[in-house]
Amino acid sequence: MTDTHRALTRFLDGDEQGFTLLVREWEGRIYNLAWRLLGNREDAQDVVQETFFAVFRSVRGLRDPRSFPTWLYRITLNQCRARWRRRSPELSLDQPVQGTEGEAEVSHQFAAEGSGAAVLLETRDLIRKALMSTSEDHRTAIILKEYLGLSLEEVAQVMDCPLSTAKSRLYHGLKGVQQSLRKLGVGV
Amino acid sequence: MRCDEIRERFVDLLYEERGTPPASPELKAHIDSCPRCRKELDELKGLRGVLRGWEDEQPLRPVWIPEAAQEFVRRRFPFLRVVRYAGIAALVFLAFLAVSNAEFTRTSDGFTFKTHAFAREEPSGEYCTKAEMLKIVKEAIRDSEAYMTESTYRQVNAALDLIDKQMGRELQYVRSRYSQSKTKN
Repeated sequence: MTDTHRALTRFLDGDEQGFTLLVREWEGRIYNLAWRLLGNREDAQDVVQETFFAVFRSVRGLRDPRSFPTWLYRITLNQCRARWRRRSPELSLDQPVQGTEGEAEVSHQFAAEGSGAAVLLETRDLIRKALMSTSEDHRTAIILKEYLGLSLEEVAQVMDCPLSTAKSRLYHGLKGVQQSLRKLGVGV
Repeated sequence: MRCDEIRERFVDLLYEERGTPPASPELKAHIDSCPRCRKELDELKGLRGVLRGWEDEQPLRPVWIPEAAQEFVRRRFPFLRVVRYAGIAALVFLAFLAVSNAEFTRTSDGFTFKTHAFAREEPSGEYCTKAEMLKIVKEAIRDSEAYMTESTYRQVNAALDLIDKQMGRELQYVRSRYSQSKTKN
């Protein structure tokens, strides 16, 4: 029995401490999923909060506790889409996101100092820009596979599509990111 | 096998997962024989390495857990429940004082406290006749210079009749006075 399963069982048996354990175990992964999908930390943090509110309200209706991770990722994706719609009605997750001024400033500051952190920040910023230039489906497939380490079957389940579609989205997503990185001057 | 047909199947070679069917020998043979496809596959493998440059971060804040937070407060600060009940009791007491028109008086011994919540009007030992009561009503109307319509006056009369019916003792008194005055005349 995994920690998640144990925590979930405790919560479903009426022990609220179980929910706290569940949150502490998953909040990092959900935050990073939302952060990579939305490209904004504050929005990502709000999505984490809203996701766990939704989980708290409806987890008792979850039939199979083993499907919890897939279910949780799906809720997160829906919350990300909802947040994007709320933030700007004319924008969608398919549209590229510009980097925030604060981040660019920090990046330049590090770059001027020539520290190793500058390279890390710059790399992250370039990857973020390249990811944001792809469509929502392609970006989601890449994030689920590359950063959350889901299997191809799980990616298909979370995205609610056939396995062949998930593979296709992943391939075209990677190709899109590759092209964007080349445009940004990264040789890949 | 054409290059554009197999490229979408690169994913099978990129992620050779346990539990999933392995990439077909046909696909592997094509990659071995086609330098263009082999280069593309190598580039995608390199891209995966680049993507790992975006490392995980810690969330900005811990998630706020509503019910669990309440449970934490209940366990950590049990006296808060006592404080809450004491506050409710104090509010009820203050409401009672307000409704009962309570009076506090400072005396040499300290404070005295009196409420009118359970006080009853003591019945008066004196009775009026109907005529006297009408007179009082008329005087009250005149003194206050209030406007009273004819219908209101009739209502007062009807009310007094009702009082007459209900208060037998008063009626007897009226009758006796009436008979006395009659015998005198």
